[in-house]
Amino acid sequence: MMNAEQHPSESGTTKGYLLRLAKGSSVLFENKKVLLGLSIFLGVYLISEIGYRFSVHHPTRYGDVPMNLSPSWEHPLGTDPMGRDLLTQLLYGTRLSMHIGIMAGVIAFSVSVLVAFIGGYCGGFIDSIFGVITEVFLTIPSLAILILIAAIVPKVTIAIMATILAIFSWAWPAKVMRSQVLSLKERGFVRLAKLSGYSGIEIIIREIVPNMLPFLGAYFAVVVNAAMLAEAGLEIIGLGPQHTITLGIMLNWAMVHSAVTRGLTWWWLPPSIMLILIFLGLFVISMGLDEIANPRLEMQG
Amino acid sequence: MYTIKYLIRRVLMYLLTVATAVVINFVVPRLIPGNPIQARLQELYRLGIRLGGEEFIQKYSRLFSLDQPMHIQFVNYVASLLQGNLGFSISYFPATVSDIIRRSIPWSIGLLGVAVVISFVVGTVLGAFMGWSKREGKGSKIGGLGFALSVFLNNVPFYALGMILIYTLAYTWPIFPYGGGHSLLIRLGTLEYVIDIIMHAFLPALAIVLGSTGAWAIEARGLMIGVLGEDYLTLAKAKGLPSKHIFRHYAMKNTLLPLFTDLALSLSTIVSGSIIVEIIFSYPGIGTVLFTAIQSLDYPVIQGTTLIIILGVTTAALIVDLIYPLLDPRIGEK
Amino acid sequence: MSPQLLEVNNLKVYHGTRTVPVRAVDGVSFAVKQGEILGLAGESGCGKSTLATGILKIITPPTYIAGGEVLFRGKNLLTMSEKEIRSIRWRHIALLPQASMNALNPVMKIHSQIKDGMRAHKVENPEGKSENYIEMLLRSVALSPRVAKDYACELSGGMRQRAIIAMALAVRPDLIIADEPTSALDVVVQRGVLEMLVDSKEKLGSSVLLISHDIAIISEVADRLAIIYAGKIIEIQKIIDIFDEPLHPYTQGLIASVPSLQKKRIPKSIPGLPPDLRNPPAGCRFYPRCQHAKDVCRKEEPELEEIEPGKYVACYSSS
Repeated sequence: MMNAEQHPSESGTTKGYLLRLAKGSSVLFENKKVLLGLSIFLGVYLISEIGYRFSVHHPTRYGDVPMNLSPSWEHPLGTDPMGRDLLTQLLYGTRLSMHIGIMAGVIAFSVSVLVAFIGGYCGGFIDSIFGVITEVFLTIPSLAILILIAAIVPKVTIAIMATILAIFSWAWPAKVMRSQVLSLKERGFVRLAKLSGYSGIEIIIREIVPNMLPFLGAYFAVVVNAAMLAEAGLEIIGLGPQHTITLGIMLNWAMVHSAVTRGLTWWWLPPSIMLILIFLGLFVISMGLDEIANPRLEMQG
Repeated sequence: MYTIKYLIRRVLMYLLTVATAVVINFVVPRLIPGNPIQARLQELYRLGIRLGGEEFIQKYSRLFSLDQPMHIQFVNYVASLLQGNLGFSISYFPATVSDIIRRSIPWSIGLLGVAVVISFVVGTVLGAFMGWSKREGKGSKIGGLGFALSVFLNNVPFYALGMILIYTLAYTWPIFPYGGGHSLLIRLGTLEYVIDIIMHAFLPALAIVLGSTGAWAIEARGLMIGVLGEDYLTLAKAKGLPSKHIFRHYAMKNTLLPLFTDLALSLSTIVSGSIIVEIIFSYPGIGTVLFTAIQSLDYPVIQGTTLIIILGVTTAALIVDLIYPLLDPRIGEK
Repeated sequence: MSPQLLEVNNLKVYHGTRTVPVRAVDGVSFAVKQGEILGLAGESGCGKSTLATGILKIITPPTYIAGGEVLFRGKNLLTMSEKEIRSIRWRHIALLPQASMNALNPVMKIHSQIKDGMRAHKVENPEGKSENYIEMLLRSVALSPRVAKDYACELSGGMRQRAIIAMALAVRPDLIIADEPTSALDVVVQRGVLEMLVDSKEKLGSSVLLISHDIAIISEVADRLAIIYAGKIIEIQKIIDIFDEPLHPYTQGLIASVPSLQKKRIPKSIPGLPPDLRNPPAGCRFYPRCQHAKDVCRKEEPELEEIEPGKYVACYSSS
């Protein structure tokens, strides 16, 4: 089904292309679920990004403040046994967790896109190789290997953490996007573009991508979600970036000090809530984008 | 019914995945300059912990051929793997890694098996009902509520659920124990023992069930809604068949069958989550073994357990993939 | 009791949208007599399938019934309870839906799908054992009895269509509504399907409402033909009469567009498009495309009138 917007000759200019992308993207924001999820996610991010700059105390320095205090006006979330303010930890931790998650998401998503598009579009031998690699990475339970890697690597920096997380988040979107590229490849407007002399890369960027925008957005949300889940999972068992504080690391400290069974709810509950909000936000975004991609879902609520 | 081609392809895939896992398992520790095992031993030595000195190092050198080139090491590694030899644990020497794993696997399988089955069955059935309630349009309020609840629960990580459960049902209202697999000083093999085990496993299992049921419900609901729009449902209605019959044979069957393939895919996620749950509850499964090994830097155990976990998940996925085509008449050629 | 088997009076079936509803079926009236094959022809998307599902109330939101009545042997189907109308469906009125490629349950064997229809309506096997009856049914639609143990995915499109017909014949319905039974089938299979419909009329005494966009197909087997345009019936006549003397300009255009082996003439198509059913015009809906259009046609919509016994038309030019 061709409509004017997909016809290659109408999008001859870069300006026309960018306009098309902009229009396509703006539609994404009309969906209720997307807006809801986005507000939750961005809300959490902004709170941490802005909030941490206002904090008086240091998140990781031992003995910064008196130890083991219950929540009070001075320390709304109390302090931990190492003498650090928990609210400060929460703000720094949320911010860092999200940074790492988004970084990992970007890396993983880039790999996914490369594998899916190059494999799907070129087909043949390259596609088969990519397909097998994707399948293997998809089947191996990621946490196990992540644990192995994280345990062995002596010094885990933030960048290394993000890369490790990305290794196992890229497979699923790659697989799904590839099949989409395959089906789009056979559509009329792509064939027409080929006949008009556009090169492979040009076709991918000009024709295929705009038609996959809501999907791409949804997959990115899923990738970030998976990365953050893996991140928190690794950190909670003690395998995170060292000498910093993230949500998962907070939970690890809490667990090591038996915070739950000692009733120190203000220690383990707030980071958990933050994580839940982040996951919820991302999931709702991907649900909404799914609806846009398959309009029939929207009518069914 | 499946073709030989499908069978071969699937088994090849399995072998390839396992091979990759073995290779990764071998390569990663050796990427670090120096030998972590040796370094660890030396560190322990410095701390005053003697693990048998020369004899131990010799045993290890022989076992891992540490002084030999990489490819020979790899061959020896694979050879010992095939013999079921995973090496010795540093922390629990002379216990072998296999011993430790063998002791903890039944706990994990018991916990996971029960939790996965319950969450799959409950989740898919509830989800199917939620989707079915939409057949006349907008659906019921309960369905909508159930959906929202499923979405919410789906996004609460297992460990958070675990913590909340400990807090509510073990700390605030001391109904269940905090953790562990069983109480001390209980006689094995008695009814008391069985009940004790169930009490200890209840909260971890509940954490996993609550966390995964939502995902199944959402998927089943989506599939059911898709089925509702299919032509064969229109014909079923046109045939004047009773609702219950349509639900069971036309709707449910077509919804549940595709979900089985998802079971294989999601196993790795569920296992990942349950590892952390075990750790939080100090449940004596393979997750806690891994955790303790990480804390004490017991590399052979870390390697061994990750390998076993990978093997377990990929094998289970393979089994599901092989059983599924027998159930679904639509699958045949690929 | 009404002599008509099925009487549709001023039926309206609309599709709800976010704005105004689409009036797919907007006041349709016709009747199917006992033992006849009535053809219903019209362009694609003019409401034929909506009509078929509307008659048996198999519609789902956003589609809804906006008015009218459907009398089966004098009883109004639209006011029946769900339980009552379920007993009418299939056993008395069997709808063969459009697009039969996916109309069979993929996970049930063919014989189960035949049997569950029979069981639901408590139809006895006249031959005694159900296996024999099913065998006979399959043979009567030119399918091998081995098909009984197959699944839908093992059958071709034509075979699936015939299996569905067998399922319908199993309960010996009074009326078969066949919605585009021949589209997506090759010519040879088409012929077979049409013959089966004629068979069901002659051997079982069933009536058939044959819905299609292809007049040529209909003309092979139908006794009478009704033409639907833009959600309204605009002409009903006996087949012979309608080809001899089409009354409505649209029908005239349709007949002229059928390629003919006998007469050497170039098929003509009708210029223009059907109106938007969200905002149908006040007057005759064919007005913009009609060559005989008069001023009154634009202002007031013509009613379907019986200008001679058995000849119905909704047009100012013919009455």
